[in-house]
Amino acid sequence: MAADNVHQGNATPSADALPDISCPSCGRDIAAAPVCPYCCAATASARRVTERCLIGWAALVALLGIGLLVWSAFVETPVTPIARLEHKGAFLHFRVQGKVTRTHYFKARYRDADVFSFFVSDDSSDETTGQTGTIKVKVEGPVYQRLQEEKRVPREGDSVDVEGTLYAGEGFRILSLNTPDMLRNTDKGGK
Amino acid sequence: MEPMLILSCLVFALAGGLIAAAASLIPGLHIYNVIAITMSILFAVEHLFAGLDPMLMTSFLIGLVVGFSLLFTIASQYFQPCDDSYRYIMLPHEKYLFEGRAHEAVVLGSVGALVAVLAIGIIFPFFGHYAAFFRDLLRPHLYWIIGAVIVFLLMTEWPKDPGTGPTPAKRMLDGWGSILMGYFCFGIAGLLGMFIFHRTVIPVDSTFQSLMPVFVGLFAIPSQLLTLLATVPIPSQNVCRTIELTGEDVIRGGASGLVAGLFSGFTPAVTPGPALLLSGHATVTGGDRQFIIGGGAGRVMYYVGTLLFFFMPGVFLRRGGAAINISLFFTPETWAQFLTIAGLLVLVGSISFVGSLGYSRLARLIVAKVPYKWLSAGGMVVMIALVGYVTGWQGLAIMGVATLIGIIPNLWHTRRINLLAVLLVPMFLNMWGVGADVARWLGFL
Repeated sequence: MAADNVHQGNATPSADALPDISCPSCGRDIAAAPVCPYCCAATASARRVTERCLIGWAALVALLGIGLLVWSAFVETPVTPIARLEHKGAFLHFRVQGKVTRTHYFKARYRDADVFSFFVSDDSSDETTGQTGTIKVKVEGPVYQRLQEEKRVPREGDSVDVEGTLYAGEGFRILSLNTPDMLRNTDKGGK
Repeated sequence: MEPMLILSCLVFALAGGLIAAAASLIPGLHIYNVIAITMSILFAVEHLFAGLDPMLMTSFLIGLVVGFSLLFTIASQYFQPCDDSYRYIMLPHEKYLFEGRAHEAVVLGSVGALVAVLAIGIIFPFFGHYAAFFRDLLRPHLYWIIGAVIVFLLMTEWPKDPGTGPTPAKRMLDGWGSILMGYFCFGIAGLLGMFIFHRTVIPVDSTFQSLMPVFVGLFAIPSQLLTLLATVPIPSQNVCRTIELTGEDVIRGGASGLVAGLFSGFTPAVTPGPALLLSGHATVTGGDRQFIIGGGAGRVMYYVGTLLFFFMPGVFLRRGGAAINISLFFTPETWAQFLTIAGLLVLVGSISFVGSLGYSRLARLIVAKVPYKWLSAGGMVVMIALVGYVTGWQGLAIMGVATLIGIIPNLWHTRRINLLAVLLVPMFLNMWGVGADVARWLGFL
């Protein structure tokens, strides 16, 4: 009891009644000293935090992490009108929706990879920049192979919802599909 | 993102955290060494992982980095006592070891780490987009900022001699001896850095780890060598149930660590060590506890926080070995991916915090039963084998040269921070635009 009082910092026992307590930091016997004479640690509980309390803080931080994971399950990339994709957004990620107007396939000989591309149109237009509502989407190598295996290669007339990295500069705009999951065929009405 | 994919990512991240916990027992081992060996194995068995979503391997590496950044200092806390025959400065965590308070030092460092994890979880998802603004703002000025850091490091070198020589000339020589050797270390490490950056001899297949032998040689091997030479006994360690800690310690120590971590994250070549030295001055931190908390926060903010910038849409800041290695097989794109990685970082970080409390007890048991010299010898063998496996004999040769340079500060009682010239000098010159000219003048091009 006396030791508890000393730890609470609200007791000053007389010298002949000093209880045998150890420093909570270094473990040496220090009687009732408010500051350990060996390691200079304060022994009063007001200046100390329990491990259990710290674990409680960590649990709260873990809840924040779980919250972020749940958030990630619900967040979606907003749809951008194709006419508003311009060079300022180069290398950023965009999502567009529209109809496939043309498809094109060739085998790149120099690196033995299939390259498939299709044009998506959403009828948008931007008079200030002069951009039309059509953009080329490029699908390469293993991504194209996966689409073929899953029979999800878009055809003319299909409605698609596609996300990718924008490559844009003077006179060109290409959306690059980096993973097959980012192409969703919303209507397989094509020929 | 699909909930199943998120759960799978969590499993992979926890697996990475467990591997990090096992690797953290090896004193001197650095997270980027573990990533190097992981990447080498991954590339060797690439076909096994070809069908996996790249987010899974990314999550594994994230778990590895987070777990390691919280746990890897525990081994050095317990297994590397400071022998004053070879060291002039005893750092606070080393003092705690000799007071029997290593566990308390571990908990303080972990509190700093938890502060950084919390800051990452709150600040980055909500205010992270400002990072792109700061990146663009700082980009044209980085070269002179690095130059200012170099000037600060050189200016803060001081005479370590107590001034007891019999004549003024002897006292003058003793005083300037350690200062000049500090400058010598800076110069020769800078020269090594210019060689590595402009004419490395590392095989092409391993160039993604060209800095590994340099850092192992400059920092890890000399530390282990000195531990082998040390004769001091490690006192019995107390496992305390409460630690001395005030709100002011958490706020001031945490703030200096966060500033240091962010500064080193935005400024190439500036690692958390010198950044903490700068931020400690800037935020006027004081006392051992704030120093240790700042170290924990700075370490996590640098290794983990700046890694998150790589995943942030619109920022994609690629800093540090982890981001460089992940970029070899994964290109982050979406907010969903960013939030998943942020969630994993925070969750694995808080689990690692709780794990560090038990991990410290395990380290205490080990150091009571196994002589620390054996542990250091084992760690040294593992590191040399890793360097040889990843970078070949050329890497071992570079590591040998770097070790000779890395041992100088200990022999002359100068600061090891001068050895960071290996990064600072070539980066400063390259960003200034004269790196190639200087390299040509030195005969490296």
